[in-house]
Amino acid sequence: MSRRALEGVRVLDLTQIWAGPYCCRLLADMGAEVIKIESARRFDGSRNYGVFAQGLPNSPPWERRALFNHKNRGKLGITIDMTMEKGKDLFLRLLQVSDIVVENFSARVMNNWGLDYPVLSQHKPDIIMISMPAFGMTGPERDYVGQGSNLTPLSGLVALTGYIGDVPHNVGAYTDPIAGMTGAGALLAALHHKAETGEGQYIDLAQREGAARLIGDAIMDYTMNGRVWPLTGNQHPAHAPHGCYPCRGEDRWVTIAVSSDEEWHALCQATGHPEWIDDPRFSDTINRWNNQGQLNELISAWTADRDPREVMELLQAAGVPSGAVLTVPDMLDDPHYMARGYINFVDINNPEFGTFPSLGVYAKLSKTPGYLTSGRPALGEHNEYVFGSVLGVSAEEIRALSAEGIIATDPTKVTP
Amino acid sequence: MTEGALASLRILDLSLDIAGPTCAGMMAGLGAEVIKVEPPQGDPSRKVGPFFQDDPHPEKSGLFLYVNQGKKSITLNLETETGRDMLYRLLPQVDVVVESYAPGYLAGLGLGYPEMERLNPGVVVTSVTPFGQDGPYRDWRADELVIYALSGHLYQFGDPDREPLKPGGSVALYFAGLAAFAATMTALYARRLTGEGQHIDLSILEAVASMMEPPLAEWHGGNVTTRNGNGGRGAASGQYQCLDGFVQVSTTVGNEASFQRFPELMDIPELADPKFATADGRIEHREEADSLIKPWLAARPKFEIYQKAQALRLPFGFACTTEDLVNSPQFQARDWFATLDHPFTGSLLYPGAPYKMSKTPWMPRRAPLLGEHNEEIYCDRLGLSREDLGRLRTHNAI
Repeated sequence: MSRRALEGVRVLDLTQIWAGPYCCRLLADMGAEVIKIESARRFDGSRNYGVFAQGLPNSPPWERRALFNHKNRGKLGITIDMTMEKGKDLFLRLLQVSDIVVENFSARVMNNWGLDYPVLSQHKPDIIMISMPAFGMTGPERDYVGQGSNLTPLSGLVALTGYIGDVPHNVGAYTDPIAGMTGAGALLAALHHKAETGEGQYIDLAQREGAARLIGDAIMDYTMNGRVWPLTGNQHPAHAPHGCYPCRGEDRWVTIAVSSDEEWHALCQATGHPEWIDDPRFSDTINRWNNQGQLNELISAWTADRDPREVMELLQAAGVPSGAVLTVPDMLDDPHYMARGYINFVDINNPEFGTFPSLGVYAKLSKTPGYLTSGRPALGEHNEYVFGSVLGVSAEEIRALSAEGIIATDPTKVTP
Repeated sequence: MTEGALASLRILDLSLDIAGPTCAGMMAGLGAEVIKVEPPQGDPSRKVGPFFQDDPHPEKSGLFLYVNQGKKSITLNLETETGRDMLYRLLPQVDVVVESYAPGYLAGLGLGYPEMERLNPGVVVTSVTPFGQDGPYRDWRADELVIYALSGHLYQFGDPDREPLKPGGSVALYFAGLAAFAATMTALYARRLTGEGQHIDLSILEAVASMMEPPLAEWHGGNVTTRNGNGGRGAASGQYQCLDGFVQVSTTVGNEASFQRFPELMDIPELADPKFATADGRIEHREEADSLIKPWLAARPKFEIYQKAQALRLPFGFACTTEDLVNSPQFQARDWFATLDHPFTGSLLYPGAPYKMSKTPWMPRRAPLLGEHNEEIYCDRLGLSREDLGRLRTHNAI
């Protein structure tokens, strides 16, 4: 396999749930050595909830959560009890050989441990550290609790989402991957600065702020014109037809998104309804937009007894933007994802499980492509490698640390 | 003077609309010099609203003004030989090219990655397109809605008995821009070791699909998930009407016991009934649970509910409107919004930094006027005379 772009960059990943783990796995996909730090007493909360992956009947429950596999693929896993002095020492030794520290605890935790940026930078002045709490490290809401379900509305995304005349619709934990991708970019920018100047730094990423940037144009309408956007369903503010239409079969749908007269004419020809071109109700983009209720009825009648993929292929061949509404099994079977190698099969090093299909790397680099190397680590799976080979801790000392519970790996054998 | 993290970089931004320009916009915000190359009629996003005072003027598009902050603008007609020649002259001076044309278009003009690499072996070329540079859908068209459909998200959003529902705005396109930015920085890091640039093929579809981990995980557990309604499984969870808007009612992820704080929050002892103790129980007794909490919520303003719930460490929120964001005490305390002056709109508030970096500040600067930097780039940078610039104009090259 070829060398990956971020090989040689070592990341200490203290994060849990989704935003932070996703941030670090984006770096791992591109070759960074990401060391996920948990403890037997307090492991990543996402080992505790969500559906079990099928096929792991004999593994302990904290190794079976399906979502955990995805968010933590390609990482090394170690355990350190950071509440104990010897655990802190061990972490500070790791810090000496690392480039980046990532944490997404609530704003107080690193400080309570005595491991906030001022302390870390004393031990390693050029360290790059990012905190990605819900609301940021300052301000009156600093210590509020945030998770996807409340941060997505608090970022402004939910107030823009909903059927016309209905209530705002919460689309779930969107702020997590947004913060993860935003954070990955921030860390890479900081790495660039460090390579140029030798200087590390601290990054305060408020998940709510990062996500609010993704509705920037809606915010501008308020700051320019005092306008708050209404709920518009699947409508486009300027174009029609633009929506999600029913197809043959149970709960099957296709989207169509016409954005010009040219595409509209192509749609009329492709659907076998050239008479719509001359219909005065639909003669130009303004008439189509104003009469989109009637337009949608006509299009729904045409899509209703067709397969979504058939509609999509017919319309795209005519130059009309259209996409079938894919389920997860549809995606795993989609010829475009397959042709581009986007669905990857990853081995999680568990003989019970074998490989599982995983989403691919978010971008293709022509000379140093990212690729997936391994699945998620089991709790403390790489203790020996990291403490022994990376830090040079003697086997004897590792045994002692283990006996004292500082690097324990079995949650059933520690006091909670 | 403190510089941004990317002060040493020079970017040529050939991209249009939202995703590509967001990538280059991140670099501008972090201090890089970004030269936006617009066709003579301008980036099409100059024609997209919202417009300042609803005046559809090419210098008053809020979308353009937001996405293209801090860039320089030159005009260049790539379909003329003289125009391409100007680009050839600029290429050796830049670290990154961001482009979003249909796959094959630039190659057809003699401006594909191999030609760019020949002129500048260190250049990183980031192509941002809906479906990527190869594969059966390569030449298909897509907007935000189509991307949501094919990336699997749309099937997950909306009411079970209605059509799938798109998240509002252009979140997916902005997200793809963030992905393109991270990929570009990744390639720039590799360049330090290899000395070479490379071509990045960023498919908006694939970047957006990378957020599909939860439904894929469910599939590993044997479930095909679909629309489950508004904001969470079960009762006493989701968006509820309050006095002046909508609040998000939530328990803590992975912590069933957090519901035990609801009776105290709302002063409704009936909620302490063991039948409501679990999510399954609340689903079973949905109407009863809802009928208990709805009047309490409906009688109170959103910010009060938010603060009271948070005082009990419950992860409540509310559907923040853009007005609420501007007035948010948290955003104000963190000095998030930036004020920028612009010749056509005067002074306006803009969304602020994506994060605060301790040593290298985010640098809010206004978007450029169309061709505002033609003279600076063509004359001062490339050494053309003012007469040459006139000739370029005559040849429709700029």
